[in-house]
Amino acid sequence: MKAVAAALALLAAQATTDAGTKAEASRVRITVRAIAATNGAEQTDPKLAPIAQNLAEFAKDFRWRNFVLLSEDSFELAFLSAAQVELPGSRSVQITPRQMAPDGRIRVHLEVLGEHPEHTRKLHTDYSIQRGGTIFVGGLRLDPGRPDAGTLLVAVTQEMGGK
Amino acid sequence: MKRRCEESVPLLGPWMDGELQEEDRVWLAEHVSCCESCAARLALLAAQRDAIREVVVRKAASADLSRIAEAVLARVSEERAPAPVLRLRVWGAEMWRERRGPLSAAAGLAVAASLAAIAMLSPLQGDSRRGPLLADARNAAAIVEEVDFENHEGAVLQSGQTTVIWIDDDAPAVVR
Repeated sequence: MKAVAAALALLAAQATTDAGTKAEASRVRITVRAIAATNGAEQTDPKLAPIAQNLAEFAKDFRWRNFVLLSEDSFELAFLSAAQVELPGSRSVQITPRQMAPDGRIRVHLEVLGEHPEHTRKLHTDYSIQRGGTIFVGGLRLDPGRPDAGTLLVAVTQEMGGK
Repeated sequence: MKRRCEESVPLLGPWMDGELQEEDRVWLAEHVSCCESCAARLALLAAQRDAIREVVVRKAASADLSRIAEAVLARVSEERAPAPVLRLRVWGAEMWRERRGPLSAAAGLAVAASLAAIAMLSPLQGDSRRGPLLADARNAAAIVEEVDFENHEGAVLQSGQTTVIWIDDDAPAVVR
């Protein structure tokens, strides 16, 4: 009888663990950073340290060398639920984790919406990303009224954790 | 260039070489059948391939191979090893008999070093017709599966392991 009780307790504990794992897998943590990339002196904002490697790779191919963090937002998102982040110049980016691929990558839908008043969609994309990976969306004017001010770089990071 | 064309252009060469998978081949054939510009690109590629083939065949046909055996033998006799080389060969054989162990170890190390140098210095051995974007994207943290720049120009670029979706905010594309 004791053996049966122990087995039941073990099964219950296993079920609780499985449920916890599934709950963890059902949410993903995404960080969205808006970055001013300009032609100023070569410098990277210390607050951008988590993605410094990505910025260094970016700087190899693009002319901007000065990176300043404008805003940072983190979200714990369930699949198919969207997060919207306001960007400078009344633009915004909307991110929706769609599903987890068999290889563990997260499939994400991303949209960039334009300025007031239309907020027209400037681009939309589907990408898959591994945990810890970062993707950049760039090319938007930093200041819509000043083409030479630099570019707005949006860094979307799929954080390692999730709940 | 339409988006479907941008996707089809890199596949035209592999298609002509018979290297596409069935799914891509069907998709491309369907696209080329209804896209004049891609059909023209394909025709141009085929014409270039035929021209190159024609030149190679013509050169091969005009080459005189009848006296090649005599020419090779004459070259061999010209390059016959002189006496100092023979002496060196004898010295090498004697050294080999005396110090076979250390020489084997040194030769092994030299071969390993050479292989490492070749591996480090030689260019990547991927399919050279693939662009750097596709070659690098295999190791990228993020892989863009689909992107629509609406009425703007844009590109997906690969900087190391970092994927960059670039939209040209300054120059909206012509609305087609």
